[in-house]
Amino acid sequence: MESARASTERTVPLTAARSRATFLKRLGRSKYLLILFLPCLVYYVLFKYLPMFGLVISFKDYNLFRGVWASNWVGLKYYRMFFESPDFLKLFRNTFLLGVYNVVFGFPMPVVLALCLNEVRQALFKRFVQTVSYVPHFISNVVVVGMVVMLLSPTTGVVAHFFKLLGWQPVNFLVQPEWFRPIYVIADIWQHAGWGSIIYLAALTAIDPQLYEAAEIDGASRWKQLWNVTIPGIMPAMVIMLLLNIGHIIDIGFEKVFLLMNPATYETADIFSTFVYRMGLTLGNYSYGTAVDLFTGVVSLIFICTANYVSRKVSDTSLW
Amino acid sequence: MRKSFTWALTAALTAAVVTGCSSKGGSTAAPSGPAPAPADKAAASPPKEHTFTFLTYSNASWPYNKDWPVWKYIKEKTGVTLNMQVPPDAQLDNALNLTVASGNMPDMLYTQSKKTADKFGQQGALVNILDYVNEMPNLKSWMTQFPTDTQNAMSADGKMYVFPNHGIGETNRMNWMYREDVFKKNGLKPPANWDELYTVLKQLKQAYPNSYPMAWRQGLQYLRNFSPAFATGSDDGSSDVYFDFDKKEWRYGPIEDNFKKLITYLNKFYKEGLIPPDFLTIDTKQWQDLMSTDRAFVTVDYISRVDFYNLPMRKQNPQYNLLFMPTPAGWPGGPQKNAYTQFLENGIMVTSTSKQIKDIMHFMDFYYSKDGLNLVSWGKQGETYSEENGKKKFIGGYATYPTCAKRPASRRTARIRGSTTIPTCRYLRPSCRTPTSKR
Amino acid sequence: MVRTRLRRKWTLPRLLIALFLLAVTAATVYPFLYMISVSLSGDVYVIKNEISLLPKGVNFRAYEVVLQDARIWTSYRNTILYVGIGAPLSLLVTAAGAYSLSKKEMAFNKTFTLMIVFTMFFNGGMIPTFLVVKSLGLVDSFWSMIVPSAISTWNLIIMRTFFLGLPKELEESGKLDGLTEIGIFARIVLPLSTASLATIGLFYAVGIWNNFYSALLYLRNDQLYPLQVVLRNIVMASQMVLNGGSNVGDNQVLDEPLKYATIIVSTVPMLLVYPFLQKYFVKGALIGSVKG
Repeated sequence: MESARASTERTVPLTAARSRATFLKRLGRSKYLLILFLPCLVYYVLFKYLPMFGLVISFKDYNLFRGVWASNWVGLKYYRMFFESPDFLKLFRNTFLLGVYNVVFGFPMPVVLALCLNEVRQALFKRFVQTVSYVPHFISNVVVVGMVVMLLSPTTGVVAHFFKLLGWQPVNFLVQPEWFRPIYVIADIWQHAGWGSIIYLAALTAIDPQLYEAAEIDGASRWKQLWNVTIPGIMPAMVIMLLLNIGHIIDIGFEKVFLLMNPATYETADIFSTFVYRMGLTLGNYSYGTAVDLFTGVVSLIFICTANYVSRKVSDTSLW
Repeated sequence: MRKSFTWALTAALTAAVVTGCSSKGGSTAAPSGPAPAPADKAAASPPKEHTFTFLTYSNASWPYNKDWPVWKYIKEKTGVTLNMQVPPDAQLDNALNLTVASGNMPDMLYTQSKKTADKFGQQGALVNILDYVNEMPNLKSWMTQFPTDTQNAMSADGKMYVFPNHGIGETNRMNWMYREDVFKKNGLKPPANWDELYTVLKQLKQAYPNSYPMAWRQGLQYLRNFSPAFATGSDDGSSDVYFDFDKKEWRYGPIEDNFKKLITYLNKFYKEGLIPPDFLTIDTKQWQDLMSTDRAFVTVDYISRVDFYNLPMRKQNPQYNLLFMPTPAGWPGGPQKNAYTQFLENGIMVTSTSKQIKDIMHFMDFYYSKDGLNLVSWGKQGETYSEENGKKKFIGGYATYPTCAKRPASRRTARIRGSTTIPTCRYLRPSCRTPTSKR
Repeated sequence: MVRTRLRRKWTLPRLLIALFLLAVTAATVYPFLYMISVSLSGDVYVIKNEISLLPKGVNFRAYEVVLQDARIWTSYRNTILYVGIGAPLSLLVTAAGAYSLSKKEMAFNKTFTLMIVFTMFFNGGMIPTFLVVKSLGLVDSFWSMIVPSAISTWNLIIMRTFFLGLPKELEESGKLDGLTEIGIFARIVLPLSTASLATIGLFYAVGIWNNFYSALLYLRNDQLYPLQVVLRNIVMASQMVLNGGSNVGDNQVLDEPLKYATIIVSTVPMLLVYPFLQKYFVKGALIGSVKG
């Protein structure tokens, strides 16, 4: 609204001068705030916006020694190269599927955990479970993947050990492409489910107890209460979290995939960001890597906007 | 190739040593200053101090240690301090790519393949060493002495992006080995071919259900070691073409029927638990664990591994006896051949962005001198070796390098290495008991 | 109150819930117990895979070897420095920025807010960012672990939401005393916000402690490596531990105990400190959840 008014004002020449004056005054009045904001601004300009302009090298034949401006324009060469390469579909599929599995299996877990915790009345037990289940969230990806690799080793890992006890053949999980996604998703749930439940627990405590009492008076069973009171109560939180998760489908974490993958599992493990790292940084194809970067960015923007739009239509909850 | 050759060999070794042993940690020594390098007397005035940055790698079996005495000796002789970047060996290629691609290069780089040198060289990242050959009297005379080795280091366009070496791969001879004591205890004899190998492994697995009777490290690389016995060939993963000396032609191993026979055997081994289920990813340490804890009894590796295992293992188990085993033929009466693994392309490269190119050239030239050779091969007189009647001998903790007594006579060259380079390695890094290993 | 009465019954669903939660707890704790046990166990038992819960043949050799490794110490020191310098710096910049953004009267407030929020949905990507960091001369420097990831937009927004909730009267009293906004921020707002600052500071600290990405992209010099890189090199790239890591025979320490010991050594500080800081973390997560 404000901006609309401002633009109407600007169309009137007489008021333009006045608005400039008030603007300068406002600037002067907020100079200390602006000073406080300055480091932040510098950071965002340097490390967030400058790179966006750097995306221009994806349309050039970037040569490190010549610099951005002296490099030749090549138009869409690298995009064409990417879309036509066999890597494209594979990367898209891998990134997308990994992200989707992560949401499909990773999203419900914190909700379930929170609902269960909510049923627990022994405060001490509840606190204990919470404390323990939050811990993995603070453990680095390097440690988590290191643990996964060690525990899944078919010769010495504890999983192989249990397999043997059960009379099964040990499986070499880490070099089998079909196991990559399950391993990744399970590790992710292990890491973040506990922490993710915090938000729902908070939402649960915010539900008005009178709603439950009313339901009880109406003779609703615990199960019915769950569906008619509890779930609707945490629905907004769920929608927001789901949106955020969907927004990250394409933008799935680089670190863990990078650490967990190996050439034997590229077939299912290689995603956009690991590809960019390999192609762009380790092989020095900066322009090509950047083209993939930009493509990833655009797709993930589309994802989040769509998710947000759909959600606003369907449930009245949205990120913006 | 015998005595008169020693000097030359040494010269070559220097490079070898520089690359092979020191690369692990890095380093080397250098003459600095104008041109004092060659002669033994050069040390008259203290050399000018330089610091070079150097990207090399840290070998899993002898991780880089900045406290190795070699750094001190090098500094004394040449005034050079090497500032090392040492990624794990498996990541050297990656690190090289990243470094060169970023344009932020150290003064010197180490490579394990000449292909890399030529690639970066042609991109303009490396110095053509030939441009500076006049600064390097020792290298110059070395080159006239070893034209073939010089040729080996050149790129297709007649430039040289990596310092040449001679004999660096000598420590890299590989052979089959087996646990003689375990075989004897179970009444087994070394298999003559892969069918017998299968039977033997099967029996071992029965006797030791917890074991994977045959194990090697680093996955598919070792197909190269197995394939000659099947009259085919394979490289260590970088390419699978090999030269068939009988037919005088290049051939591609993996599409040959004999190659399939090999793979079929391995598949059977894998299915029956005769090789570890994670054989593709077993690293050096895991393999060492298997071999030293009676969980693997047959292996293929560098020849000096017999001593690497036998010497320490016998202290706790006097019976422990790892011996060389004749190569099992692919089929009865088939070839009993081992791979030729003793040629390595490892070498040091100088980056074009370095501000001290000439100083580095002088430094590197030192290693083609008798003095430099001696330094990296033997260390320091009185500290690491003593000399009597012109014969050098390691002293103190540096002397325990394997005698090569058990090696077959045909391993003559290996012996020479045993008495020169390997100790060098040992001297460079006191905890090391193995020769250079690739990757 | 009706509900409490009903719930006191120990019904089957509640039993299942309790079991489920116990399983979750076990799944979280077990890997650590297992790693600790193996790292403390004697070789014989490790080889035979006999460790499943408690250590057997307890010894500390793996830890001796790991703790003798200079790389562990160097990287520990580096990580502590990165956290010690980076977290306060990030916190300060974030708090100052968030405070300004919480003031509607600041010129360009809307523009700035939009500009910041936009980066949550779109960014320049890995390579352009790398090139910027490189052209600033930060590659392979101490600051590359701190500056390029100095501000987390998420944390900035959390802080801003928090500042928005502060009572206006406090600041007005500051203005009456003749303080500028900077003065108010430093003398009044910050002291009042210690709990939130602690929370955000902790998030930053954990982020820097666990940061592997920046090191992978920007660091080549092993003297600057943080713990995470060394950890990865030892555990996943099989770069052995020094001083006996590659021995066989008498001094041999097996691969698994060594690697587990390395993991434990690098994780224990976090695990020890965590219970005491938990309430701050939880608080942070909750501020974030309040839609602002």
